This record gives sequence, structure tokens and C-alpha cells, in this order.
Amino acid sequence: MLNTPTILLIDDDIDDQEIFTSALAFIDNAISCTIAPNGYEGIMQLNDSDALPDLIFLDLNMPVMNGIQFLREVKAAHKAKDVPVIIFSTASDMKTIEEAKQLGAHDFITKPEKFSELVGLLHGLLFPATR
Amino acid sequence: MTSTPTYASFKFMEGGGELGALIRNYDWASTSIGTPDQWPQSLRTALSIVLNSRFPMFLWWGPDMIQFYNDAYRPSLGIEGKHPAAVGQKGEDCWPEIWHIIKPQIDQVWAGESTWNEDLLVPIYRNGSIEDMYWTFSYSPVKDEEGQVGGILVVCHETTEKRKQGIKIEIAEANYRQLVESLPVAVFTIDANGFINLYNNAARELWGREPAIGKDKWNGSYKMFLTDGTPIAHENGPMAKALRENRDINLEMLIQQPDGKMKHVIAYPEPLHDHEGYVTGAMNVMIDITELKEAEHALRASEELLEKRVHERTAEIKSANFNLQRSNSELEQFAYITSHDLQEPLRKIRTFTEMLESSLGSISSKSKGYLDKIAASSTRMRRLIKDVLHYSRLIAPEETFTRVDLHAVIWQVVDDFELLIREKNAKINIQQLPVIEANPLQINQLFSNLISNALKFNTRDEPAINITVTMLDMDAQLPEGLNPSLSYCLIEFKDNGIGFDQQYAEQIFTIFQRLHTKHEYAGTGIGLALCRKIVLNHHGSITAHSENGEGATFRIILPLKQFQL
Repeated sequence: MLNTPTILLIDDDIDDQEIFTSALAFIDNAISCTIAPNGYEGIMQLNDSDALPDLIFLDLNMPVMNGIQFLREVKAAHKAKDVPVIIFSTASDMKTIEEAKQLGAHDFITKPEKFSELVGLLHGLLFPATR
Repeated sequence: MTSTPTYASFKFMEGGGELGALIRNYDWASTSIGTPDQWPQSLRTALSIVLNSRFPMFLWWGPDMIQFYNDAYRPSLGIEGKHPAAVGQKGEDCWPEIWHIIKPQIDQVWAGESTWNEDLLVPIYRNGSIEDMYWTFSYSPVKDEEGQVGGILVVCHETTEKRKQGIKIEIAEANYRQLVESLPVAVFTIDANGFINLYNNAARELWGREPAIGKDKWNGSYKMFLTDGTPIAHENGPMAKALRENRDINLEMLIQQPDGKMKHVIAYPEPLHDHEGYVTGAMNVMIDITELKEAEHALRASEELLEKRVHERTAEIKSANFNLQRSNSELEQFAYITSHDLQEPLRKIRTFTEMLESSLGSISSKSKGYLDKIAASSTRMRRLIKDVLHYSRLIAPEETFTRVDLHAVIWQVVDDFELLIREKNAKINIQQLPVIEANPLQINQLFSNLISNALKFNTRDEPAINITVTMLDMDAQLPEGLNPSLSYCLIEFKDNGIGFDQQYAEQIFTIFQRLHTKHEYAGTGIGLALCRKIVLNHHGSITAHSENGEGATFRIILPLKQFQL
């Protein structure tokens, strides 16, 4: 992974956006993170930007376009189809997780209760070598 | 009797067998009519007829009614009776026992009239006693030369035997009539022209009227119908058909009484024949099946009512089932909201609390205490949500029962609690538990909660838990709601813990019901509510028994096999 990875977080929950970005900042202030409040806005951002993010963190339950729909759109033929997508959601049923994996999701993390736990999870994903 | 040969020379006295001889030899000089040579021609002619007739005849002559009779009449007087003294005897002297009967008729004949009597009872002394004899006889006046009635000729015939047969027939017929009359089924007959000539009481009751013998034709009822209500004309009724077509008929029909009341009958008319095979009439036997039909209708109506009730009840159950499914799906919705939406803000409270703590840097112990309380509260809240979710899942249980070895399950649970058991130095005794039809996960939960409780509410140095089992007899007293046709086992969890006041024995099974503050004993107050839910899901019962400080006993009754519909 690059020294300062770029990240796209797609999540409609403002609190979770804050917790997520705080955790990233805790790891490394230089990590650049853009935020989209739903799948549709996420695709718009990917379309508009010249450079693709290194990782996409995707919530599942969102208005307008949910996580599963986003995966279907992007993994089918989008230019960002090779960007690893990590499902970042509350505990969900196995069926939805399986579906997301079938659609090409790279990994799945449950939003943890402890901030320190989130920091650890993200660190592991962004800098696997140092874990 | 020296003059006998003289009488024998009279031509009119010739022949006549035994009586002829007696008359010829009789001493007529001693009678009021004198000797035969003095007799008028009319007497002579009459006597000649009497003596020579093969028909029983008897002759009275003169005012004293001096008697003559012939051989044919002789047997009527029997062996030891009036014969032969009756020859030449006066009528009144000969027949004292019946004189009062025959005297009026005799007087009538003296006046010139003939009489006729048929089968008349005339008791006569013969054969040593008075016998009942029946006679058909005629008294005829015999005119003398002056044209006056000189005597009475009796031409008679004893009909005792014939009459006795007739009486037998009359008695037999009376018996037969009584039999017909007393039959519980309606019987009536018609003659060859269709007129009613006999009917019994049951027929009269069935018709609801008294028919006129020899006037009412074909049937004594008011109106007749086929069972579908089509009217039957009397001349086309079953009786008319049986007579006309000379065949047996069998017809279920309705007859209407004059007051409109309908009777449901089965009629069995059949033609009657004489000894030569000619149809002489018809007989009908009618069985009243009105009450039978009414009972049948009532039965059908009650069957229909029952069926309707079953339908209604089925509809109610369907509706209740629908409501249940709806409430189950609402419950699932609720469970989803609880698990997700309620847990979400809770997760954030915990995360932000942690973030707050780290952003504050070093804080006062007071502030730290508040933060710890927030953390503890949210932990408790999280457990509550988890338990409620668990409980709600039990409300709509999956009814998947398999054979579960309770003994294996209890030991698995004991294994799970191994650490706590060792910490508390607890002793657990377990009897061999049976294999029953159950949901293994739920049974595991049930046993876990009970063991957990027994350990939790125990402050002794050596807590003890005894788990015993009893197979219940078929005649055991079962708690309300259990099915007496199933076999049950009773499993008892007895501990030596703090127990509870028996007045709370029911209350402890209510969700969120706590007998102790959560500072004394941890827990959400859902555990025993879950236990009851699980036992109810298994169509069993659970009760608690205790006295404060005496330990608690939980008695669980579970069916060995689930009831199959």
C-alpha cells in the first residue's frame, strides 16, 4: 500500500463519517479521504475525479443507492472496478455479506463499538505489512 | 197292548222303522186323541209323512199336543233321555225345561202362523244332563177336516255341530280382529270395489279421522302426496293400484290429516284373493315413519349446524392464525429494529465516549467516574437489547422438534459453566435424564438459565444443585393445559441458595421482573421469562417453589413426545 493512501468512504451516517475520518486522522493525518453519502454520489465522484482512490469503504444500508446496488454498478464495467471495496457496516445477516462477496467485495468489517478497535482494523487494512 | 195288531193293519202307520213300531204298539186308548181308528184323515196323512220322512220331524196333535216323531228325529233325544217316553206323551209334560221358550211360538202356530228359527239355542235334557243344542226348525200348523188347526208339524234340523264350528270361527275372527285392532301399524282393507271394509285403530290415528265403512273409497286419509309434495289422487293411490294391477306395492308417501298435519308413511298394499285366485279386495299396511323422519331431519340439522360451527371455528382459527402471523412478522420487524436501530446509537455512545475520554487527555477522577458510568450503562443496555431480541425470537419459535438427549445437553451446559462452578466451589448432582422430543438449542438455553440462576443466587461456601427426574404415571395429576393422553417427565432443579418468598413464585417468570436490585444480583430480569417461554414452546409447564433462605426448586414438566395432529 502507498504511504499516503487515498480513500473513498460511502456512508450516509454523519456520525460514522466523523468516527471514520477521526480514526484515519489518528493513524495518519496525511491520509486523504473523500466522502459520499450514498452509492449514487460515490459513482458520481469516481466519474468526476481523474485519479481513482486506493480503497473504497462501503456502507450497505443507504438511501438512493445502497451498497449492494453500488457494487453491481461498479464491479460490472466501471473504471473503478478493480479498486478494492471493503464493506463497512453494522452487523448484517450472512446472506447479505455473501452477496456482497459474490459481487466482488474485498473484505468485510463490522463497525466496532470501540474507537481503538476501529483504529486497529483500519491500520491493518491500510498498512498490512506493518501489522 | 193287546190291540197292537189292530193298529198295524192301518196303512198310514206302515213303515217308519223303530218309531213306526213304537207308534203302532202304543196304547193310544189312554191318550186324549183316542185310538188310531178314531183319528181324522188329516192326522193320519200327517203321521204318514212324518214316519216316512228321512228328515227329522215331530208332530203334536190335539189340544194336549200328543206327540209323534220319526227315526230321523230320534238321535236328537240322546241315549238316556226323553225317548221312548216322548211317544204319545203330552207336549208340556215332555218339554218342561224349554216350555217357556217354545210356548209363545206354539201359541202363534195355533193361531195359524208358521215359525222359522235358525240355529236357535235350545238346551235339552239328554245323555243324562242338560245339553246346549242348536236347532234350525219350523213349526207349521196342520189343518183338520174342519179347517181348524188340529196339530203342529215340527220339521227340524239339529245344527249343534255346525253352530259350534261357527262359534269357533266367530271367536277366531274376533281374536283376529282384536289382533288387527291392536297392531301398532295401520292396517285396512278394501273390497273389490275399493270401499273400505276394515281398518284398525292405528289407521284411524294415522288418517286423523274415522272413515265410513262401505262409503270411503281407496283410502281413509284426507289427502295424499308423494314425498316431493306432488298430490296423489285417491283413485290413483297405492291401494287402487294394488287392486287394479293385482300386484304388491311399496311406496313412501305423505298423508295429510284433516287439521293439515302431515304424516310420513311407508305403505305396503297388496291384493287379496279368494281360494280360486280372484281378486276380492286389497290390504294395506302403513308404517308411520314421521317421528323417524323428524329425528332424521333433526340429526341432519344438527350435523349441518356442527359443520357450520366447524367452518366458523376454522375461519376463526384462520383469522387468528393470520393475526398471529401478522403479529409474528411485526415482532420480527421489532427484533430487526432492536438489533440494528437500537444498537446503532448505543454503539456510537460507546465510541464517542471513548473518543471523548481520549480527547480530554488527563481528567479528574470525578469526570472519569461519569465516563465509566456511561460505559457501564451502555454495556447494560446492550445486554438488555440482546436479551429482548432473544426473547422475541422465542415468541415466534420454529417448531422443529427432534430427539434430544437431555442428559447430554445438561452436561454440555455444566461444561460451559465449568469456570464459575469451580470459582463458587459448587457441587452438581444430576440423575440420568431421558431422551425427549425437543428443540435442542432452546433446551440448552433453559438449562443454562436455570444453572446460571442457581449459581448466581447462592452465597453459600458450597452451593449445591440437585437435578432429579421422575417419569409421570398416566394417572398423575397434571397442571392445567397439559394433555393427559401424553407421557410426561418431571425434571427438578433444586438448589440451596437464597430462595425467594413463595408469594413471588409466579411473578419471577414475568419479563423484567426482578426480586433484587441489580446491584445485589446482576441480570436483566429476562432469564426466567425465557425459561417459561421455552417450556411453553415445548407444551410443558414450569413452576418455582421456595421459602426464603431455604433454596429454590424449579419443577419442569415436559412431554416425552410432542402431540401430533
